[in-house]
Amino acid sequence: MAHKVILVSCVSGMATAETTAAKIRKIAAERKWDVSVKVAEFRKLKEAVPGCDVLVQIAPSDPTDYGIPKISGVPFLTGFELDKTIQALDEIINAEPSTKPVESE
Amino acid sequence: MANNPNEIKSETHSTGVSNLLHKELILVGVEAANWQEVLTLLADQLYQAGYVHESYLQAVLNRERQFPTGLRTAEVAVALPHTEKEHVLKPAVAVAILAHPVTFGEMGTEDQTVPVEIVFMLSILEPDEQVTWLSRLVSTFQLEGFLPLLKSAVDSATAYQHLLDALEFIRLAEEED
Repeated sequence: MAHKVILVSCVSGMATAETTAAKIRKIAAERKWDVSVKVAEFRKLKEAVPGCDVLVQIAPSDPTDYGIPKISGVPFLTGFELDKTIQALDEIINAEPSTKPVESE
Repeated sequence: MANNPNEIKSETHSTGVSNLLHKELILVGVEAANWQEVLTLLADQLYQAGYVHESYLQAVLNRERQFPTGLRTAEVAVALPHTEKEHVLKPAVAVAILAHPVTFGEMGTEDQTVPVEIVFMLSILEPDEQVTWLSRLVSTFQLEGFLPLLKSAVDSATAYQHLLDALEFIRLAEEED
């Protein structure tokens, strides 16, 4: 499995993104994902995306297509439908290196 | 991030729960007509107690308007208003348990709303240092029955104890991993 980079972003890259990143690191360790987790503030998202494989975005509402799969990070904060979100992330992490993303169910 | 579990533990005890959570910053039975009133009340508590600059109130109101922080959970909806660290003096969390749900914007949306019953106002200085604690706070939202229990607290001391208990439970669960 190729190493993947998860990019977590919120408005300022402060509380919510750091908290979400911590949760994802823990889940990644449990599931033995070969990943690193980076945090970026929204304003610097475009510069941060290159080299990353998946974007976990919490806020703001943002329709931009960054060219990598994007999932909502809110379930990492609330636990609400977290299983689905972890499953979606798992599929991206374990996708073959050449495949672009990602059938969501 | 500290990888050594002992480091995490000592950080928790020295700069963690005891310094961030304060009985006098936990308000129960809060009557508020709208989210602006809730934020004003909590920001005023933080300011009076010396945790934030006077500018924090306007900053947190502006930020909530632009980037709302309401969150649906499985049980009781919460909000996590916060703002930039230049308005912060010392890290803390102020809590308002609302007498009636108050409509907040939903985090990550333009126009969705959520009826919030508990508000955690975060005064955060260095997210790297406070992330362990914040992550545990958020984990308590996922403990079945915890937010309804917190909501039912009749006074600040009870709510404070529920929060400490839940955070300790999460900390112990992390150690078992």
